[in-house]
Amino acid sequence: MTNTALAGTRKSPGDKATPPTRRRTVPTVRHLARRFTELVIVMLLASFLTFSFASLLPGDPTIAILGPERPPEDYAALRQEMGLDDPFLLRYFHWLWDALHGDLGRTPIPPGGEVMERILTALPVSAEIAFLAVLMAIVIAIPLALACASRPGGRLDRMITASVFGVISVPSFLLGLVIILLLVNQTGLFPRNGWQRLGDAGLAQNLYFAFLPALTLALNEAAIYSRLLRNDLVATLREDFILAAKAKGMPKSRVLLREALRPSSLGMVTIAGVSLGRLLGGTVIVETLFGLPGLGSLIVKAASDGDVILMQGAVLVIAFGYVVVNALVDISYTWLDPRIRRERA
Amino acid sequence: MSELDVLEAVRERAAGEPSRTQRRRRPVATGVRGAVLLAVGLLAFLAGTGGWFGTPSLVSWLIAIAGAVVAYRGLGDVLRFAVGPGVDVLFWVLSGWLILVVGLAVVAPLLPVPDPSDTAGSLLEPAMSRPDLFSSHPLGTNNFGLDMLSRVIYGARASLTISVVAVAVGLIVGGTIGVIAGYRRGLTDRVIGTLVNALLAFPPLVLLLALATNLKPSVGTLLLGLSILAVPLNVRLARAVSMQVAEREFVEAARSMGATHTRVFFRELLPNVLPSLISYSMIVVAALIVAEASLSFLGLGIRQPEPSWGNMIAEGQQGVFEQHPHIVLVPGAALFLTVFAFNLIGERLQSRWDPRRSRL
Repeated sequence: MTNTALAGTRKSPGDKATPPTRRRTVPTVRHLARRFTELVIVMLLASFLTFSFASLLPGDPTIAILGPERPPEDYAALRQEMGLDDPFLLRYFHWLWDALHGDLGRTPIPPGGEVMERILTALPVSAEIAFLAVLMAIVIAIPLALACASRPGGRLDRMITASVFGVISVPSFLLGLVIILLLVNQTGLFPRNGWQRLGDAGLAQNLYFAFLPALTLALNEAAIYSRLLRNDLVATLREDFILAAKAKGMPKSRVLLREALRPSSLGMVTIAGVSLGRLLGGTVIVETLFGLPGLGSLIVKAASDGDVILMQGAVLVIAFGYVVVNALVDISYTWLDPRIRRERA
Repeated sequence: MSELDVLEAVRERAAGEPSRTQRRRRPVATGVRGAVLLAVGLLAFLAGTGGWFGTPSLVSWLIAIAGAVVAYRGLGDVLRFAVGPGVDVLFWVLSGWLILVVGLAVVAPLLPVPDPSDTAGSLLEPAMSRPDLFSSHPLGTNNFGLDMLSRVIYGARASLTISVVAVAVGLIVGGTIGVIAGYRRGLTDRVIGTLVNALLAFPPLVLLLALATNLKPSVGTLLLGLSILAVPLNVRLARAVSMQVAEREFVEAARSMGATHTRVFFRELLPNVLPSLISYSMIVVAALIVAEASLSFLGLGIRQPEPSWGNMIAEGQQGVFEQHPHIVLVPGAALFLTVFAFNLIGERLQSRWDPRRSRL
């Protein structure tokens, strides 16, 4: 049950459909083993798709590398050298074999270099932005959801729900431009673009440059989280133990914060985990907008240069990141909520 | 107050929501007040955005925003007067917007607007002129003097055509595969499920960029990419819903009466899965419009001078936005309202049609 974020439901019926196991092995181990097999298969498929997207489609990478106006022998020689004349499947297995050894090839398109090395320098930037965005989103979402859930259907609830829908509908490039206009050009509080690495400039400088890009992503995420958390909170507040707490005279704020929030937050935590994986490749727009040297900028450059080798590597890393994070979230979810564990066992 | 209204009020009170009947006012007064508010609000909005207060300033923006809010409230009152007290104002407004955009996009070639991409023909037109409803360029012009209204309409044409066609492909192909997987179960389901998971491991924009590496940016490429995005989403939903439907009694009844798989598929499953799929498709259309706009914004989708909302917004980069806000705000507002409309309508349809949602 990966991809929870898009479905918006926490349990797909497919999981319920798996027949109950009769064996008395430790259920979590069995579940983990199955997840792991699935993970490997999905990764293999994803790698194959990655390779196909970039290589099977029409288009000749040698033209992108050498430029259009060269004698045909040059192209032929380069094709030979790059192994492009080999059968497709053979090329795929070569590529995969190398990738498994941490070698994603070298790209001849400037600035060139080892693809793996370039990805590894770019990855921390995207990962940090994604992590910060999810963190900020949670911080924004919790008070909003609490405010909504304290009086469901009230004026505040309806206003927040409507604006949440509005925010979800603002594409990140539009949001980013507006944020730049308001927070950079009007106030001058934040830098327009650029990046300071954590190791070079220290935490303060690093966060100073990371703040706006992360905020741009966080607003969209926060809208999704707060909606989800609000619905879960409203559902929890109908439960008997809340009624009991209220009957005993517990103040409303305490009921919300101490009793309802924790059992309701599971859905949001799951979604937050999944979006961490999704954002790893979803920072493309924000990185372009704010000029960050992350994976997103790398991909955009690869796409506009027609740099197939770089693209393959970067897409593979992103897809793997997503699949792995998703699997981790799924496992931790089972671990967090004992009810699901029992259900599956 | 009819009996139904009373029931409604009781039910809402029980659910802890304020009753609609409480907020009801005398209808005629509401209608008149609404009409006045609407007129004043629209006037203020036009004045604020139309440059009646000289160069754009904070004051004119505030007037425009206040005007929009007042107009919205007024429209709400008018609708309450015309339709009934419990009317969903936002839904009506956004549906109206969608009808307007789709209508204009369809009849675009018949409209008396200048060519949206003929930079040679617009040489004599003023560049970057501000929106002014009473001039020949109601929404202003861009850097090349091209008319923004015409570009927004033709941009809608491109965006909507591509997204809707891709969603239709996703609906037909993905829906069929998904229903088969949900009905057949077993190995078929496993194989399809794994494939879908693998496809969904690619973030939408990354997948489109990967395709753009090798393929020339064109409408065909965009269609291909967006369809690849739409298919797995539909497969997953169709699979989940049809799995639930397949367990219901009437399917079993049909099977035990000797109905073939084909008949069950077309007569029992499809009619029950389709409402969920269609309401979800609205949301997918919204997502695809954003994906297309993002790609065009990056310069890898629809290319200049052909207009698309994404590449029009991209014209506002490098400081243009600060000097000429309308370059971004005009296509931005169109994009936002359209995506908002699809999202909201999809959500409303879902809560009405999707069996999984209504149970919550």
